[in-house]
Amino acid sequence: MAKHPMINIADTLITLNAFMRQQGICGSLTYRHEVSHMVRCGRSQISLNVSEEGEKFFIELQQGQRKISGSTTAQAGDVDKIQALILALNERLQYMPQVEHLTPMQAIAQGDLDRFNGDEQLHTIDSQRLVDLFKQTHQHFANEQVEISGAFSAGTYRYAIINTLVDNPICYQGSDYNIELVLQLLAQDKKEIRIADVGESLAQYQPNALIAELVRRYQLKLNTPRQDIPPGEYDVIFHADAFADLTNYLSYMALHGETYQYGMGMLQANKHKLGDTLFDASLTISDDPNDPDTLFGRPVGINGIARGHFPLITQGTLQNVYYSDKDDCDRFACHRNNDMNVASLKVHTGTGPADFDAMVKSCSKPTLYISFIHYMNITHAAKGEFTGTSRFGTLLIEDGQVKAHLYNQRINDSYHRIFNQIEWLSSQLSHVNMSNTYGMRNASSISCPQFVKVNKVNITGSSAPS
Amino acid sequence: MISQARNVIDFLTKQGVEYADIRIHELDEAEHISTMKGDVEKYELISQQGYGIRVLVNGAWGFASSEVMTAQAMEQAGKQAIEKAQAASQFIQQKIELSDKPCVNSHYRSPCEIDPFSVSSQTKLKRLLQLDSQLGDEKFDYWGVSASFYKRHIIYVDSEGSEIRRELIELDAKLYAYATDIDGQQQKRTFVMPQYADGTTGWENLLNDAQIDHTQRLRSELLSLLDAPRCQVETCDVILLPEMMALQTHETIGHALELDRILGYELSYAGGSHVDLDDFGQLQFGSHKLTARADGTVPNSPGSIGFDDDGVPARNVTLIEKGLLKDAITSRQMIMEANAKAGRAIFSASGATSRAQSYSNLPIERMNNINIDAGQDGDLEAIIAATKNGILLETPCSWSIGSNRENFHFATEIAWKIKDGKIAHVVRNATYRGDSLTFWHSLDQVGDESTWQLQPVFMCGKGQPNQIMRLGHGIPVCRFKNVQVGE
Ligand SMILES: [Zn+2]
Repeated sequence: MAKHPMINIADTLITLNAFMRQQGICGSLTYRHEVSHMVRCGRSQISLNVSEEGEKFFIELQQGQRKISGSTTAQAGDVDKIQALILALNERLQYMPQVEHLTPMQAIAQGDLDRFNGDEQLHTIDSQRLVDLFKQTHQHFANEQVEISGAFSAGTYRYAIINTLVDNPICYQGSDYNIELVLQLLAQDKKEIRIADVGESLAQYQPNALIAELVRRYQLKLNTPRQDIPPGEYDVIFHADAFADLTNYLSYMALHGETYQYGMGMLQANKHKLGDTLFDASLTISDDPNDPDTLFGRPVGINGIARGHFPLITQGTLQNVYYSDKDDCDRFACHRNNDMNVASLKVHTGTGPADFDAMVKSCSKPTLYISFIHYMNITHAAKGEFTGTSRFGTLLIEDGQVKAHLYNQRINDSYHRIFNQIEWLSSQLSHVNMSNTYGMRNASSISCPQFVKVNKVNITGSSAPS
Repeated sequence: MISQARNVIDFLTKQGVEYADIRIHELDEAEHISTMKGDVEKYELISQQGYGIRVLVNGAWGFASSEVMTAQAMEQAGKQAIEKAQAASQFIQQKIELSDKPCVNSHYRSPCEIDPFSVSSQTKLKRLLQLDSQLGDEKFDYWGVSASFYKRHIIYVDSEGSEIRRELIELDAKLYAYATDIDGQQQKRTFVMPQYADGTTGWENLLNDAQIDHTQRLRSELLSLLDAPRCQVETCDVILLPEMMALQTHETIGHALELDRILGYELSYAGGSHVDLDDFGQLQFGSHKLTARADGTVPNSPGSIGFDDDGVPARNVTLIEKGLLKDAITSRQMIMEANAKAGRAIFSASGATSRAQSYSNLPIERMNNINIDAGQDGDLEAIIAATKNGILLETPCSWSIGSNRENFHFATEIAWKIKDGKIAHVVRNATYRGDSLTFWHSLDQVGDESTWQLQPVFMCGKGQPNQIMRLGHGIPVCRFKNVQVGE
């Protein structure tokens, strides 16, 4: 039987590590590999069908308080090429100025931490299968005036890490797929609807269920009139896709330890302390690679730090922030405690409605339903202020019924306000893809209640024609 | 390597493809250096090599990339691209056609005096640390300088007989400083080094004294922000300085006029456009003072690379003339599709804007240099003097744009209140928002040549898989009437 490719990588890293030690070099090596397949659809036809394979070695060398890093594309067998880069970097290292606060390199986590979780079927998936989802959707809507667009991405990613303070590398292999499917209703003022899916093995992929959900949303759209509302404060129910996006931005604004230390986010080390109550008691956010409710659990980060149960916000109280980067930690004399790059956040569920119909019935007063937030951005970091517009179906619900389909609405509000005005969180959890990252494939998702109701959200405008 | 490229194209042609091209990044290097408070924060060298092969089979695209540089691996990637195209062709409504282009055998080199990769790391660090020391102040929390140098040698060969070599050098340098204001909130000033259309793109840019001047300006601006009044909510005239004008142009003209986006190819992700095909030649996009172009021929910009990744020579395309919408950001494929859809020849030739981030990406429509012509309303002082109640805005701090680019909300790093033709004081936390068309119609003053500047952009994201693109905006200072500020 052929050896698992990660065994070859581990052997290469051990060889290179031994080489560095022989040369008296202190350093670390990270190997990353990705296979990505993507099919994209626009105007009801396939617009892109691509496969990428990428393989990179990242090298970091440290000598006393001098440091240098480099990376190269190379295959696992290219030991000579990587050794040459190590030597070239080591030569330049001598000229790097000393950085006073730099602490010595630390050993990476050791032990039974290798995981080979990848679904081989996602590694070698035939692109016909990806194309078929769009074809099948088209068949369902063949008699309707709609245009189909979307993307289906699938692949695997591997990383392995070693440094000269340890003998053995830590290896991880994972796989993921993510899908977004959008309909534009040409005969209905170009209303848009979207569904999305994310998973770690092909067995989780259920095209019929996805299309059925799209049909349900389509019917709802057909039967609701367009309407606009004046700016003002509204109670809003965020769908998981929207609330996960809010949570994702919150993680960078408030849970990123380096930002916290630099004082560049909404929480600052000199003002906010672990243990402070920041948000409504209904809000609990954690990260745990062993939590079966989350996807992509990675026991060791790409930075070599072991990961375990990591409470972030517990009943509104700040428990932890992520420290992932050694250079920043050295500057503030703190220690790395995790790797935010491989986090799998979970927003804990509450007791609110579990499905769409129950959610609609629960609204007697006028309530907005926002399914997705487009182009979020932070307008004032220190105040936790952000903006973004709703998209893919903004509804007005009243008297337990969907009354209208609104134009996209712009939100201008702050985390301090809206995360303190949570009325309820749904009892149903769902996974939301977050892996729209730059660089190499790195699966990411947030597990989030299906719906979250927030009172008095500030709506400042809409896309209605003026 | 060029013969290897020709062999692959021959191989693919023999397989019966309708069209094929290969882009080989023979050399692709980057060097990132950053400093913070007098220390070297990062020194990183990146080296990569690889190629991407694109084929058209049964009217559909297929694409595959690899980093294994052998002839055998290239053929393998070619076969994979054919399989991808065959699968894609199972679900198309309209076969892809490519517009005509000249067959070229040519090359392009970035204008560069001193190759940054020929300068020693010690020399670079010394200069960056010198700029760092000029920027610092005891009232500041953090400050620093970052510089990224890029060098790429790209070979392009296609089945129509074109062969192009590009040797590109790019420089992306920034200054930044952070300090805490009187309310205990952090303020920042950053500066992206502008490029000069008559200049060069090498290391020499970092040596000139203008960089020292910028450190001093940034330092005093940040100090003045710390106790400045906060932005008031009001409707007033806004004057956008070059960095803000670049963002405004980028988000509400550039992205809105990408033809693939107008056709609906970006709908599921980035969004659509409020512009549709009927608007070309009809829509008054802005006031008669607005003339905008997609100009790939501006010298010395990261958006000027000689030829796009369809192998089309760079052009200067008028997008908007005296306010009237005329053309879009286009490629060979999209103009054929758009003309067919519209049933009329809206677009006569590709605007040469089909570009890929790197060898592993399929090219799509990307901004090259989306520029606005200088006007005749004088220099900055003249525009300020002509403003009774206004605000002068500079440097993007955050941006959020509607999914059809129909509206926007921007926050800025710094602003100055203008009263009765004079700058009254610095303003903190300024924001403004508007509807795109209304905003461009409110353009009533366009600065002269003295205000026109080329602003490089190195972080424009688009597409799936996401591609980060380099480009430029050559823009004058402009004034807009009656804009909502401070919300
Ligand atoms: Zn952009």
